[in-house]
Amino acid sequence: MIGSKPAAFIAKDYRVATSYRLAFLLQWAGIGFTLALFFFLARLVDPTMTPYLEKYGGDYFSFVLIGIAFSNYLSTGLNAFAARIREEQVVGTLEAILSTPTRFGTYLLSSALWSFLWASLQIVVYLVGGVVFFGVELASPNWGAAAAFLALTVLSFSSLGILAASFILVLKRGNPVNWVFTSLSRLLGGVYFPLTVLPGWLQKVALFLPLTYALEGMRMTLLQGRGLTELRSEFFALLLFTAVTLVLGFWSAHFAVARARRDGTLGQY
Amino acid sequence: MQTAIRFQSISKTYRDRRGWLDWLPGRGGATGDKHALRNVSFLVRPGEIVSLLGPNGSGKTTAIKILASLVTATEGSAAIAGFDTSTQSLQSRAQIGYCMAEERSFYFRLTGRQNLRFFGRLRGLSHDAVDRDIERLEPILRHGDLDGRFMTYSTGMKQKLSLFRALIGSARVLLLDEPTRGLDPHSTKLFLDELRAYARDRGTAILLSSHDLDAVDRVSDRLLFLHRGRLLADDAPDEVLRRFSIPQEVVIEVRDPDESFRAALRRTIGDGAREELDRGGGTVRFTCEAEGTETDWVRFLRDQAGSHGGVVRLSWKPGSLESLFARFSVEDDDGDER
Repeated sequence: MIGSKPAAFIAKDYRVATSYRLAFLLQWAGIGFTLALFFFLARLVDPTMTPYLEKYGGDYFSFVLIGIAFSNYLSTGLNAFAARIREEQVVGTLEAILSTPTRFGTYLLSSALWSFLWASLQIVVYLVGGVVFFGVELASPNWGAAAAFLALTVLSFSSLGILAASFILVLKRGNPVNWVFTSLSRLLGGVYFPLTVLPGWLQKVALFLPLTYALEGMRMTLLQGRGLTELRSEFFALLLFTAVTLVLGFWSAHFAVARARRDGTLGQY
Repeated sequence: MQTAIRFQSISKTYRDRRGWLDWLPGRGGATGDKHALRNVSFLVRPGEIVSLLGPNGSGKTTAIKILASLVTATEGSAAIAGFDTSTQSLQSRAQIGYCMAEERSFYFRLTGRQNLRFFGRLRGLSHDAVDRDIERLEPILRHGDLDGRFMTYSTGMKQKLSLFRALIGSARVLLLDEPTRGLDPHSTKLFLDELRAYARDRGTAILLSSHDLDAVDRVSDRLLFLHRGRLLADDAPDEVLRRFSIPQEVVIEVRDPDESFRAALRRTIGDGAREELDRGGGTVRFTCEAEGTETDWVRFLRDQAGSHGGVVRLSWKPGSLESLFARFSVEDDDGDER
């Protein structure tokens, strides 16, 4: 059962998001266009010519669909917390919220809930759209293992997002965490192509990105029906990454709020 | 009697962080540091209305933000209804209603009611409870349309919404930063008249900061006068004026004074005279501290008979907060509000 404060944030953010009707509709249309774009692009990729895709079933469209859908969580996790804090500072509501009996942690987590719900809804639409309209085959997916990977994915990306939000609280502009992880993950995280196409040294860099393990886990559980035992190295790597970034994220948020209160800059931007 | 607000030996210094190294712990340019509050102490009891007064940059907003747990003090401690604002901030924030000086601070795309319901929920109030409070507060705030979007509201309506947000629920302490800013005179009068009854009937302690000196004078049980971060006075308004020896003021109303009249006035009392043109035109009212006797002023006006079109009135009035404020503001033209 969701608490009344997080529920209030979700309701508020839903109302604000849907008040921009055209933007709201365009986001849905964007999903359709992305699906169609990669569907036709995938026709160029002959399955027999791509040994790189063999372990994922050989179909490029299925591969990239999972990549695009779940990398949504990365961008949501990295952006939602920092963007919301910045928005609240600009609109002037941050101080108003933090003068109520609401813990900073409650505020921070609640403020990104709508974004995560929205990202989840988009992922469902990507997958359903891919299966229903573009013929993607999810061969006996292992939903339990996929859910475990999903939970760790959300947690690890959220921790990075909280770390990014801490920078915004203190520095106001400039978000190195976001910059590093967004740029590297798009290139090296395996969203659009398998990591095996990269040179060896770049593949080693990719091992330091949570998106690498998240996407590998999601693809192997959904497309190949693999379980956690077979994917234990990816699972534990993601677990370790999540544990480290969670501690780092909450420590940095605690430090950033204390610093902003000391400097009197909570509401400044 | 329990204390509603305790502000004890509070000092607040804002560190000047201009260089990269200033962000390291313990660093910060001492030369640019701003001392917003210096060893300030005061108490506010339940049911009392106390006003924070002082020129720009005197530390009023910082004091209120410390009480709202938005800023931490460098030294000293503050408590709301016995809860420390730093170490028990969740409990202390549960006791306050806060009207911010910012005109923004609401969600522009939501209606007034949706905004109030959201902030009410953060204070543990159900939508029904917020709606009931909105009805209860109608006689005080005459809110008009709360179902229009915030972005369509006038400045006055935005301010009313800010007051609503502070007054909904059962706060034991109200922190009102510029509560009458943007309100029309009728709304201001209505609000202030009701504020006294509100504090008395509910035992709510009210700390307000305002540059509306009439409002301050009308509702305050006590004045806290801050200047450059120091608390110079904590007393009833009349006592504060007496302490600073704010004298009576002489009011001279003359028709069509020329420049030589103004020059003569300046030679007599310096630059301290406030000048207002009567709405009908022609008559000008000069108000200044009443140095000298009535005989002296009658003689002055007689001597200056050629420089104005006739004396309309010569009168005296008690010293005012405006005079007190003017005395200290002159020294602080370069101050910034924090």
